[in-house]
Amino acid sequence: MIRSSAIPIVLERAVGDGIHSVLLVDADGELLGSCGGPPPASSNGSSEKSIWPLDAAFVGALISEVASDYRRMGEELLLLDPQLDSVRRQSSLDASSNAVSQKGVSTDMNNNSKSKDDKMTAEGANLRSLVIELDHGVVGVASAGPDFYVIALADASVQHGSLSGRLRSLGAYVRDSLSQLD
Amino acid sequence: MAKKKVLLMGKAHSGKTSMRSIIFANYLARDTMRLSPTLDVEHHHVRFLGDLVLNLWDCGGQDAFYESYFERDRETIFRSVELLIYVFDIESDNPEKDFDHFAGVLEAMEENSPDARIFVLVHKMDLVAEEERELILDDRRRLIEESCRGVGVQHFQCFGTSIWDETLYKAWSEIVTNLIPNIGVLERHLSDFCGICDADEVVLFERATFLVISHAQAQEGKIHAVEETGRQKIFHEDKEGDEEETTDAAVLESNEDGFEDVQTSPSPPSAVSPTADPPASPGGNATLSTIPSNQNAMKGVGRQIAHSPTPQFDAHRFEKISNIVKQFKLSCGKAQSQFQGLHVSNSKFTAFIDAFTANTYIMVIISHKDPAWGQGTHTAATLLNIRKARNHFEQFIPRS
Repeated sequence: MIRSSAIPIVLERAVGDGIHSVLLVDADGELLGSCGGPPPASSNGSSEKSIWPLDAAFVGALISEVASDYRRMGEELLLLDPQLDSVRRQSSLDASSNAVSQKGVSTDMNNNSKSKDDKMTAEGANLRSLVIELDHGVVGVASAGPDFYVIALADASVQHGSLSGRLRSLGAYVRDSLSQLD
Repeated sequence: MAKKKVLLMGKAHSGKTSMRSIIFANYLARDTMRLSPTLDVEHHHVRFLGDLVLNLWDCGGQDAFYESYFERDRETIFRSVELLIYVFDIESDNPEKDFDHFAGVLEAMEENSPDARIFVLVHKMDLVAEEERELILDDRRRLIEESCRGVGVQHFQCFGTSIWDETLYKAWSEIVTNLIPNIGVLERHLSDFCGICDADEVVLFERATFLVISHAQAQEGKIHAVEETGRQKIFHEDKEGDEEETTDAAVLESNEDGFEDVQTSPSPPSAVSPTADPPASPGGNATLSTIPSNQNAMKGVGRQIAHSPTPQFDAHRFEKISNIVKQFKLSCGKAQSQFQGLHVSNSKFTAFIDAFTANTYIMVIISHKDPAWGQGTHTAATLLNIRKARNHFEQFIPRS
């Protein structure tokens, strides 16, 4: 089970150096925990107020939906890969359908794959990270297992590589922890 | 399968069958008006909490039946009784006779089932003016105590009840809780679950009757989370009571082994007396398995982390909730729908009522401690915990 009060402490590891909040959401967009606060008011000297009227739960739901769409696109593109042979295509299809149907349970795509190639194919279908540059800041998303995402909200000045790296590390850390639930 | 004989006795028209029908047969209070008087003894086998079967003997209360109970059928009626529930009608026109019958029943119980637990319900309290209820109930309790002392009965419990409010559920929750064999184990694990979820309260209801069978409450915080320069430090007490500082707290998870190894702090109050002080019990802090990279850092972290004192709650909240949710559940049934769960949220707390094991519902209350952006315990985490805890609790609440 998850100790809710400990989630912000884990997510806090990624906060700093331009990253002002980190969220942990599930694939349905439900917020499990968060750390930090809403983005500060614009730093370009203008007097406009903060543009974040939404709660962390709403932000997480919106971004989770976007990330899920990218993930699905990635899975579809992988299937279109002409170099992918039929065996690997089928195992990738099986792994994708397991990820959709076994909600709340680690898909453990590694166990379902029969060979190392299949394992690589299955992993390749997973969203690793996503960085979205917006007018007033940057949003980063990384996979924390088949059913969870970590999301970071950062200033426009933050380096994309740094953001992506932090999120992937945090996502891997959270994924290992959450895999113990199953 | 454990079978427990439960004797339901009292004067005619005191409300025994009505009570039984509401609790075990899903009658609404207004439906009991069409019940006819009970002739002799009606036997009902009621399955409760999976493999527990209550062998309910609903005994007619007419004088003629009492003669046969005390004379011809004395041993048959009063032998091997686990529980006696005696019902007094507060508006009885002949209370002396009621007490004579009561004394006779107690004598027969002392002869044939001396170890049985005795519950006395002073029923139809809704007919008494609200300002006089406490006084009248105390007076009646005193008379009952005198009767019991006269026969040599030392222990009994007395409740004022009415089918028109939550008092009926309070009394019957206490009655059936006495029949659950592993209630202590259940309470201990529920207490751990309460701590893991960072909940204010967790309540377990029996699925069919919606009676409260167990309850856990967050302890008032000895320990508080302290913010320091943007980084949280969690202080906890180890078994010796010394404070230790830890940082880098991680997501704590428990598996089945982790639960088995848990040593609990003093268990919380029971459902019936939620304001009573919790009994002391041995053991130190609850220890949960942690993620590998921080195991050493988190060793000994107790479930008392970061709990601020909870506000004073209504002492009758559980039975009120039993009453309300059961009515709603029956309404759903009439609308051809099956009640699954209920989430209620306001500015101060969120309540989750969800189907738990095959024979129970669970209610988790989480207060909104910090209204800051994104803070507090989130719905998804709580629902995930409820889902993950199901299999574990099935061990203690077996399927039928």
